Amino acid sequence: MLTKRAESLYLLSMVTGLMILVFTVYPVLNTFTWTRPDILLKTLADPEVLSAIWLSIWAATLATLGSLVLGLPFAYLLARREFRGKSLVESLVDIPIVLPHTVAGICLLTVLSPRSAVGRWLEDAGFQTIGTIAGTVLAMMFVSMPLFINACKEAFKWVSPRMENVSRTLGAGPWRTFFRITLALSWKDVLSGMIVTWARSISEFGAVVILAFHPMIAPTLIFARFTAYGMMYAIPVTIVLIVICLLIFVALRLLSARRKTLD
Amino acid sequence: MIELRRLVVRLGGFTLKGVDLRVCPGEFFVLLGPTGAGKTVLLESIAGLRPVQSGQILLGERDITRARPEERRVAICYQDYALFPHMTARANILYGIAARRDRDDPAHQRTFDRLVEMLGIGHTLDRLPQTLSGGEKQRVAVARALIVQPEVLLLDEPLSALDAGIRQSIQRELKAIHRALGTTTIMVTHDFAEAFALAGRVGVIHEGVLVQSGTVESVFERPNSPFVARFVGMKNVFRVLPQDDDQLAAVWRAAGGSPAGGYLGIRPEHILVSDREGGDGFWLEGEVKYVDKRPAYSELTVDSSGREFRTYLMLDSAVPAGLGPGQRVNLGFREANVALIGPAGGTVPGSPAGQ
Repeated sequence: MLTKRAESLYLLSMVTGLMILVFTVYPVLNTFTWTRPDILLKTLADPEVLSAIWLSIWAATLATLGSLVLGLPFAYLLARREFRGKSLVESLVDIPIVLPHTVAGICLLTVLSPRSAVGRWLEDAGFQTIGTIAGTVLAMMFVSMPLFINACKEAFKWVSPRMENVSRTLGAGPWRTFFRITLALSWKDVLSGMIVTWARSISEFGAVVILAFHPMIAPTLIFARFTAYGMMYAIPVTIVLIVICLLIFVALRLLSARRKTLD
Repeated sequence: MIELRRLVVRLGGFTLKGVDLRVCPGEFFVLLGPTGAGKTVLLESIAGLRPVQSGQILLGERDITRARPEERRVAICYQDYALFPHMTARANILYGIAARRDRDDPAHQRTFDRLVEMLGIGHTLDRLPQTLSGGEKQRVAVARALIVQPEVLLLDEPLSALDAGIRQSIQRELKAIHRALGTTTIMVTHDFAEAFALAGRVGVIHEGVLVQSGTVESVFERPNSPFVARFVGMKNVFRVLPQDDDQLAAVWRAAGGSPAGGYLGIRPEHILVSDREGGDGFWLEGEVKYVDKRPAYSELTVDSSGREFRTYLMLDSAVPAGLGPGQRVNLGFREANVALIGPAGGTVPGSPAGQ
């Protein structure tokens, strides 16, 4: 009886799994059937397309590095320390995840616009954000940083604080302990977090388009061509972006092979 | 010497309440206590891993209460070893030396070789911790702590995660290493048999309070509270009022116990079981309630006038085989083996066991 039930459970799991895979992969693959190789080659030679793709890659990379610099220490704090209001802080960190992306863009705009105090101060300091690469990077960071912080926090929690304690009593200071023990044991998960952050950043459209329609990143260019000229003009750029994103994503994933179960 | 003065440490809802303790140079001190008593918190406070609310920690002449862990020269070994899983056993042992300016000093290599030989871990050096047995992990952890030549070695239940056989051999090794190196050692455990085997002096900690400390014999024979008595294996602890008309009250009076009454403790191994009354000392009649069989002995629970006595019955005992629940037996014990525990928690002055 139990075996039959277990078998039906596995059967259901396999069917739903198959449905999910088809639902995910089929639209991506099907996109490739909507264009021809000669049009794709022509698209690859289009300076506007190349510029938008390069900008997407660079902006996503900068957003990931920004998340790394700001998010890594904060994630460590959240993983290691208990303090009053910690749950509230963790919820606040997650806010960008639950906001619709255009809403996130509008929220950022209210702060960065020259009509706001922060925006004016930044402008006076010579730092333009609206309609610049900086705006694009900030929008990407805003929506993707929570993913990085959460990934790192979980990675650090996995490292026993007792190992850090032992390291300290053996004469290593907090920085050496962090790099030799904590980060050395969690770097693969931190790298996974960076990959997810980068992927989330490069796919961002809603928040970016509010802050910086120009200079155009690839998703904005695809949207612009789709609305101005229709599907056939958007698809070649879409395919180029899919291929580049997948190549980078797979390469990074290979770098961070799954963590071995240790001890 | 390491000395704690009125040490107060708060951790969540738990507090170490004004612990006073003095451990002499080269001493092997064992802190006994049940789970949650605050043993590990106390060790981590000594190591500088927990902030101290008030009080002082002195290491020789140095006040290390606020010193960073890396400045204290106090090493800690945890129950779960906390070996670094991404480093070989060799790298683990040398971790504390690798960051030092004098890491190339040949003296470190000599210390390393000596520890490896003493602990018999030469065959493990190039292996990762996850490929080592529990005993090997513990030995590597001890070597890692000792190579930095700490002034104090803290051992947090080092034997509790090990199988019984390995536990005994590691226990012997710890003793031998302590004799050879003379490092002041504070070990915590919840197992009084371990404390008995290893310690010179012991302290018993309960709910954040160091309730008794002294030589192993004094704490084991003259517990100052029913809690300590039970914790150190005195399984028979009874409230006694001297004016009562029963055998225990007679024992209390005969032993010179306080007129206010108190607690009377007898270790199970000091109670004789016989199927007939006779001989010196005090005798009680009772009915066997339970017989719990162990490999080399049976543990008997005997009801005598509503009090449950525990005693051991060796396999070669003269008592007839097949002793079971419902049978009547006599329990005998000598006055010298009775501990009188005063009402305020102190051993009653003048009690035979308290002398």
